[in-house]
Amino acid sequence: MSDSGAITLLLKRLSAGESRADAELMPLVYAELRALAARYLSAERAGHTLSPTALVHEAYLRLVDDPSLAPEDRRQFFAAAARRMRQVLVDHARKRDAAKRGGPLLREQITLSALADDRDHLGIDALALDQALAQLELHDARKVKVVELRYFAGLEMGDIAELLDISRATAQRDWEVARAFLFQALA
Amino acid sequence: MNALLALSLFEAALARAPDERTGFIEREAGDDEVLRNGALALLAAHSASEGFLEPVVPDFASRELGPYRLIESIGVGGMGQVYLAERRDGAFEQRVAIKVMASALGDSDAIRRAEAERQFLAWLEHPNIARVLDGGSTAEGQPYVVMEYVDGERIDAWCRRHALDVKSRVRLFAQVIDAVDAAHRALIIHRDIKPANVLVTEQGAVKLLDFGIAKSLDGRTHGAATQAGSGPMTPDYASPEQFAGKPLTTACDVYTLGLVLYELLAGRAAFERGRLTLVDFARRVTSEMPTRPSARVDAASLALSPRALPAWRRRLLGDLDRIVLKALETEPERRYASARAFGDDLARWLDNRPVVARSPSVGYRTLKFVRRNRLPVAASLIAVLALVIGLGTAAMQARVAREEAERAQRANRFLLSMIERADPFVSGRNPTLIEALDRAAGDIPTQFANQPRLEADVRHAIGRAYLSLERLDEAETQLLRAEQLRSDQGGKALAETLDSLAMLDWSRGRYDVAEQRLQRALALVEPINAPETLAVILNDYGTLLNELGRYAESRPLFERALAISASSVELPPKERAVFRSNLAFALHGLGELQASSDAYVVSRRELEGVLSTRHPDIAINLNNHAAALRDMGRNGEAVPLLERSIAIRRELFGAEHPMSVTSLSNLALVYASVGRAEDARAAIDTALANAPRAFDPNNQTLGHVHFTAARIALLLGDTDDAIRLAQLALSIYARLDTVEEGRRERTEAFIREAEAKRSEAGA
Repeated sequence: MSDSGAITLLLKRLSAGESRADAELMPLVYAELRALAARYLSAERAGHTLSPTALVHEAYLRLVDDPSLAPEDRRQFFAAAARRMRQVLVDHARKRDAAKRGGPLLREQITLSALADDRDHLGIDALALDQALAQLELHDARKVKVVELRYFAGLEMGDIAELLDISRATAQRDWEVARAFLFQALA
Repeated sequence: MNALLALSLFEAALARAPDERTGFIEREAGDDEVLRNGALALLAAHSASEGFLEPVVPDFASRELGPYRLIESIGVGGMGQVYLAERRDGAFEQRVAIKVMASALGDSDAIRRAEAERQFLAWLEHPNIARVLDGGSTAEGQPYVVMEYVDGERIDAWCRRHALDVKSRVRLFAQVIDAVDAAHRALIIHRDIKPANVLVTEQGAVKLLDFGIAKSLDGRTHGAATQAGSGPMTPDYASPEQFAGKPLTTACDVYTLGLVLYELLAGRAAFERGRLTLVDFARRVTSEMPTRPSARVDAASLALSPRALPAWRRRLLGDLDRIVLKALETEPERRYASARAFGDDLARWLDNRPVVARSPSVGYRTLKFVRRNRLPVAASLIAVLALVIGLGTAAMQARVAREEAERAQRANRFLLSMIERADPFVSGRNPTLIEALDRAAGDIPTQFANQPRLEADVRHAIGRAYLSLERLDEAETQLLRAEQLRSDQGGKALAETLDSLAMLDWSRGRYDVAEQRLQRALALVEPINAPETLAVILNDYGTLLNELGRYAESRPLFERALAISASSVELPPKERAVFRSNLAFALHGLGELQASSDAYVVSRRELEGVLSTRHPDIAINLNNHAAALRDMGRNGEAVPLLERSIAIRRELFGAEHPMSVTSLSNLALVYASVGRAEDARAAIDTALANAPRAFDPNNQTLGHVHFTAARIALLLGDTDDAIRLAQLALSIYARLDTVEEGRRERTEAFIREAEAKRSEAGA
């Protein structure tokens, strides 16, 4: 697909530090993620546990899939996708809530995979996660970025550290602090 | 509280070594308790959240790991993705499961230690344990472990699909225990036992997954392989010490085994998290014992029909309840000492032998008066007097020689003088009575020198008196000495002391010893002509078996005791009534409800013939009979019995006695369920009015009574009142640290239901 080359170029411009490229890349990534999420979260797949990382990876394969892409450019894609992924899930949950308004008392959850739990009890409420992240953002925006890159895009700690220009140990600690905070908030 | 301040403190603590973190927080927080608790809660969440939100990196498909080719993802486990894989070289036709951990590796030292740990696991060979075959790390630095692939089903699902009964479930579970026991012998702790880790193959063989994996993988990413408490765990299946971050021992596995057995028997988890936050949930697990499983059987999840439910409950009642709860003691020292000990007790249960696990309330049925009615003051005096008089009449009735009658009289005089020495006005009767017994016991050597038979009689009587006062150590000293003195005296007297010793063992939860003693006593009196003693021992043995839920065995004993009493002129009629009441209890246990009900009626008539109509034994008979009728669905007939039982209790203990208030609120509920609205209102109003004086404000029963009132209001259609009362109950629970499992949740659900009803009615 013709988008592929265009996106590769955008990613390269982004790594080179051209911030306008970000504005151009975002809508493309966002549209693709939304389409994928809609498919995964559709009614006939009810009960399916969604891994955001899987979704972002699938988006990458569909949009880019360029083996020649340098690692730093590849990272740019995931960084962009991570931010959008969170938004996609929240939008979807809100839309679903709106459709159900006046109906049942229970809010239907979009279940995301949360490994710490038992297989049967998998699932995090996307809206609750978003709210907890917003709360954490007041305290420390960088930790929220680490969570987005780690959880929504599945980036390795080393990649995250490079993207955010911090040491690997700092990234790891940010991640552990945020994880404990979110675990408690969502428990 | 300033949540962000706690977060900062927690973050600062993380920079320190794991074992210094708690101390650091406590120091830094100073006397700011809110800050300290907030940071400590985050620290607890830190270890509990291991693996939480870890990305599932998906592009392993078609990947290769060492000599293995990944076939497909077969699930998300506690710490990472699990794949089905096979050997690339086709050297073996073996399928394996590969667990790939989500987090990357720690330093090289940690890797080496973890590798050693894995090698260690590879030695663990047991038919019920999925073997660890290999391990390593991916190119991305994620550690993985290769395990035997088990094609099985989760144990809970397997039990449901095969509609296993209680006994078969226990038998299946015994395999799980065998596996854990074998591992413990190899010094390996599982640390993550839960239904998802216990699979059953189509052939019915149990396979335990992930043995020691938690520690192995944890060690690789965190370094210290022996790190206390931390590491991946599933909060729903964690032990109190895991929540507390204490070092883990095999007792942790005993606890989590208990959780799994609980769930297999009750169909629901011992602790249900519901909407509790993790911190509140951890607080509950670390401070409360779960409710006994028999009280929480979930028929739907066990796929039981409503008709099968009571029998299932009865099966759990007693021994299995005790066994499960002993494994789930909050304090590790109070649990079974090992998985083996746990398994042995289950084996005893399977063989219908007495179990070791004891309940705090054992023995109350035989030490009837004192314990059942909780009247320590007057009753203990009566108990002793009854013994004295009983000793006299028993001797008389046995048509003993004149010499023996004299001996009995002298013993009586001694005991009476002992009671006279107890001064009821000094410091309350109970302590002085015990003082008197102590003094009497001290006087025996001088009073009865060289009169072994008399000494034995007195020691026997004093021992029984101590027993009725629950002074078990003192009772044991006296009774063992009496047994010794009577050992050459033969038959009946020795049998009576053995019977008393058996009651003592029962009180201590030593059921097997109690049973052996009763069997010895039976063997002593069977060949001689002592029908009354024989009947009493048969009854006591039967009562022990009732307590153990072994109704099929207890029933013939009571029937025999009754047959003896029918032809005996010497056995007091009250004894006959007691035998019959106990028979009725056994019949209830066997599900022969009509026969049970009939026996209660006859027994009550007999009791009324010889006792005051206001006797507490009659109140108990009425209460138990009502329970049988309610199990038969005959609520209407249960009502008058409960009314009489309550009237007796109110007269004996007063309207503000806790027992009077709770039984009155239960009666009100029965009224409401049979449509007697006015009576229900009057009864519950009285119960509510008396409740504040009956219960301490911190007693959760106060909340239960309000909740019962709410249920009645709803039954009577008064929704507003129902909601108000239920909210009152909730506010009572809210100020308590400890509330019985599920109470809050049930009350909240009730309020939602009532609100839904109200809006329905409004619409």
